[in-house]
Amino acid sequence: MTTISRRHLLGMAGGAAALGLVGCGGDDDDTAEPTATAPASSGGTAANPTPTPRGIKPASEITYWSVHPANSKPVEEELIKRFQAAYPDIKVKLETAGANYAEVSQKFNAGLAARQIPDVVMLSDVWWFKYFLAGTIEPLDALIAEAKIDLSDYQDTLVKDYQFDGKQWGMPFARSTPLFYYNKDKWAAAGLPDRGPKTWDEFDEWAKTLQTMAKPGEFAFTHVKGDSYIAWTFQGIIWQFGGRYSDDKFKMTMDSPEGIEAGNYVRSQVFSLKYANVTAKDVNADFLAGTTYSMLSSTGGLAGVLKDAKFPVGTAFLPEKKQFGCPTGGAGLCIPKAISDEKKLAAMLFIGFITNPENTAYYSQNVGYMPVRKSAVNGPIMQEFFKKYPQFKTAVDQLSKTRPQDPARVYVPGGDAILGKGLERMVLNNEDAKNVWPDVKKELEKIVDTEIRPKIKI
Amino acid sequence: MQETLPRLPEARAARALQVRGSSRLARVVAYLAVILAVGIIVLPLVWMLTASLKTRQEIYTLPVSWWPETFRWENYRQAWTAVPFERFFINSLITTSIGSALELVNGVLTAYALVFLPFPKKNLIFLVIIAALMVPFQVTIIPNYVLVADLGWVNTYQGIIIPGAAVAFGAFLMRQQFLSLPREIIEAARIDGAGHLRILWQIVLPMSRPALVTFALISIVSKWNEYLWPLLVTNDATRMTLPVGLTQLQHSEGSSEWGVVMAGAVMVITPVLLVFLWAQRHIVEGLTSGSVKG
Amino acid sequence: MAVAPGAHRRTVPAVLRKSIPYIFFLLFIAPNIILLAVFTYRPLIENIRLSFYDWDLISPTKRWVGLENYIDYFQDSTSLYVMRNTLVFTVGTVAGTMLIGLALALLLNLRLRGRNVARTVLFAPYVLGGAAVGIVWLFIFDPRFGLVSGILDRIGLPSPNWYNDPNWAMPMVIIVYVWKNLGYATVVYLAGLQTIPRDLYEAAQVDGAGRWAQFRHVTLPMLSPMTFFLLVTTTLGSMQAFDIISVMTSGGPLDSTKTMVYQVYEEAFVRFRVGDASTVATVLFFILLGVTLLQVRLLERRVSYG
Repeated sequence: MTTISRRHLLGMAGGAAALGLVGCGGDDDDTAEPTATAPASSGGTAANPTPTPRGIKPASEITYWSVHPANSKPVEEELIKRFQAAYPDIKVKLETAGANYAEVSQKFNAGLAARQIPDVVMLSDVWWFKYFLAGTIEPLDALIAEAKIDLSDYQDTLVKDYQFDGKQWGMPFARSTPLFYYNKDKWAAAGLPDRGPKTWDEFDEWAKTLQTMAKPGEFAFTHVKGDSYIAWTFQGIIWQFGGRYSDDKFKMTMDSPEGIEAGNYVRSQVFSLKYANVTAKDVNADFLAGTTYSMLSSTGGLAGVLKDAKFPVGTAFLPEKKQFGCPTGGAGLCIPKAISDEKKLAAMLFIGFITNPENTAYYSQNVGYMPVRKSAVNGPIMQEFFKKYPQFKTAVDQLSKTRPQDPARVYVPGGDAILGKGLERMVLNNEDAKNVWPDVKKELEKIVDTEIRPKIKI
Repeated sequence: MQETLPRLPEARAARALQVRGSSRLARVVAYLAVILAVGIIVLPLVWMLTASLKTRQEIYTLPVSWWPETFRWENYRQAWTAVPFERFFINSLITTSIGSALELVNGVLTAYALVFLPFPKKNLIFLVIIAALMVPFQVTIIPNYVLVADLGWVNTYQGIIIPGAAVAFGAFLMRQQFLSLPREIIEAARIDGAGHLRILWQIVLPMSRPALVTFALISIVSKWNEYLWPLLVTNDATRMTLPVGLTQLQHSEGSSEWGVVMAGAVMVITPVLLVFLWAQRHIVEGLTSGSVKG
Repeated sequence: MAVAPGAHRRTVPAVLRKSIPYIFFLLFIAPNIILLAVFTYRPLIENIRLSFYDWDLISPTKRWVGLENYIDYFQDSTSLYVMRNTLVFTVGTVAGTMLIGLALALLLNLRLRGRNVARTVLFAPYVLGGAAVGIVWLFIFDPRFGLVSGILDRIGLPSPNWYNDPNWAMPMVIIVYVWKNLGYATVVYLAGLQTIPRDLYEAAQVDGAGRWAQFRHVTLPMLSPMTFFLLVTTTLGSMQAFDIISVMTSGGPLDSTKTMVYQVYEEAFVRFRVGDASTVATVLFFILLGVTLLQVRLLERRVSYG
């Protein structure tokens, strides 16, 4: 199914040699990973020589499978219109491939079996790695260079989230982070300063006060559940406590003392400190209804929350414990391997265009996801936007402090669900983390051993 | 066991059976029971209707508000225009009507064969057909998608319809129905030299109208609401059906506009309900042409 | 059809003549069987075959593992828990659907005013797509804004934590599923009730049978073909219920609403473990086959046909 022609392979090798690419493993430095010393972006800051073109023209039509997260179809259609104005020879067909990230993965999966694949596919943080393991998506480094995309201008964490083994496997598009939302009215009523808590210890104090004014059924804070991605929000927390789900070599570390402490902390918020509960289904709804005064929720819902709230909404960085910790999430765009080179080039041009500074700002404003470009953040469009919505600025400011997610959650197939179930055992069943994490660890290790180690060197 | 009975002279007494002795009290109890049952069952539907006219804020208010403050017909307009609704509707209409028609033909023919046509080990064949009901859809969905793609039927009507034209439950239902028909009539017709198709068309089917209409209804509902298969097989609005198209109204991160989603759901369910309203008559009105009594 | 020496040529037409009716059978049944074979049985066989492999659906290579998947499956505590869930769910929904469905059908069979409307209303939940039903009931069971907690509060009963309590999530999905499928059972029973000839009731009456005796000796036996049909189809349907669980609980909390079908979906499409998914699906298939065979053996004898 994956047929890389010899010509293609040589072409890529040649291109790589010409650029002097250096492959590095992932690290936590803030400096951008030099996977492609890309030449000038469309802004024209040419500092490096253009790679030798392969002499192919981009295809005249490409297909893009999206799930239009946060009801973004009209925005995507506008972006396509803009692209076609800039590249009149490339037509883009937008297809709805499902209602959520799981469905587009299902359709892509089936499509691979039936050889009905798109040229650009939206794959979220927990779905793309499997397709990389199976060798069905294209490493984008050469294409990035050929399309003259300035990778260094992309937000570092967002780009790193789609890197593995020194190569770039997807481009960030609809990205988000968790954010601390709080109800300013309740904060004021409790006499708290109008900001988020700096640390969880501070929040414990505040929550005690908040809970005294809570009516029955109301809580100072609400956790999400397995299917609403508690494994994602908790990832920040375990980092704040100094632990991790796993290291970059897939060694499971959630059962470290720090991980146990973090797990038992969220458990205590519900069962011993009693100021938190777990949402029934939709934590944003709880927040809007006023039955929870604060929450950790995706920035992707920020626009909706601001629109519907009947009270002033505050946003803040995630609280710290021993240190700060915050993951990113959402979806990126990948290119399948089994399509023609012409289509790949056209696809890359498209992806590069809709994530250029102006367009990512447009997308971000209208949909609520993070602008994926550093220069977009400082550009006039976003600055205007921040004045109107300072809560949004908080989210973007936090972006520079984020870290790429742990492999246990995003690279292990089914990892998010397993972690989520473990966390549910703690916050719903009041089980001690030191009993739960070993089970989770065992389950994840089994998958790594049978499915990942045989395929890649780690 | 069916027996030939002497007819009772008073047909009127027979009708009085309905309210014999029990008279008013029983009727009142019956009415109350129906109202209670309907009331309980209809509440979520009423909620759905009122929610379709609310803004998202209204849905999320406490205490629960029943009546929409503002009748937000806008929700319906949004659901209609956010997606190419007429196109989806037509596609659904085509795939459902043709698909159900094919199912009906297949089911009736199969049932007739199983009941009235001689063949060794018919019961075994019957079980084999029922076995088709035991195969979960996750098992069939990808192999069938691969086959449909190989045939070049992706994003076509036939790709949606043909794999669903086979029917097991309908064959089952009609078999049960045919088995309960009085054999004498069929025998009589055979002796008179009638061919099987004629017997099927002129005798068996008219006597089985309620079951047939039931079969049709269940088939229509199932095809109208099909989601996963059309999602895989279609790519764009030219062939997409309503349920697939309408999921575009939902968000994956953050809260959806539930009022609009509910409006969409109301619009999907209405055509089939209208069909049911019209078709009820045929399920319930009793047998005609006295062929039972002979 | 004389059998005479050297009659070989003459018995050939005889054999043909005997099999002509068989040809009719084959002709009538052929389109359906062919379609079933292609679109249902072929994948089923393929699925059973895949259960002996380890495969992730997208790699070009599969690894033969023999019975390993089955051994793992039966030793896994989650799988056994899921089987138990499936049993509880099926029994609850089948009993609920059929009993309430029959009661409603009897009610609607009476000549009451407005029964057309009543019938439409009762059938409406069945017409709703599974996803829409799940969404509507998500709100109804919502511990704050929901109807259920509102009503329970009114009566003064405590509201269980439907979504987060593993003991209550299963009753919740059972209730929703029964609500949705009542209409199906009612309509089928109604059709059955219509075909019961009135003279049977008259005759029973003449023999002095009261309403209850009439019910037991006329209605139920005459309905038995439909009862059998409903038993088999609702059992098969329940064991494969997916949409509602997927939308409302995603199999949670803590796997308390995960049924075998949901497990198949998860193994195949979330964990990309086709061998495991096929194993569960095959086990499910054989359970269904066994249950149905049992129902056929035990019940079809007692079904009275015309």
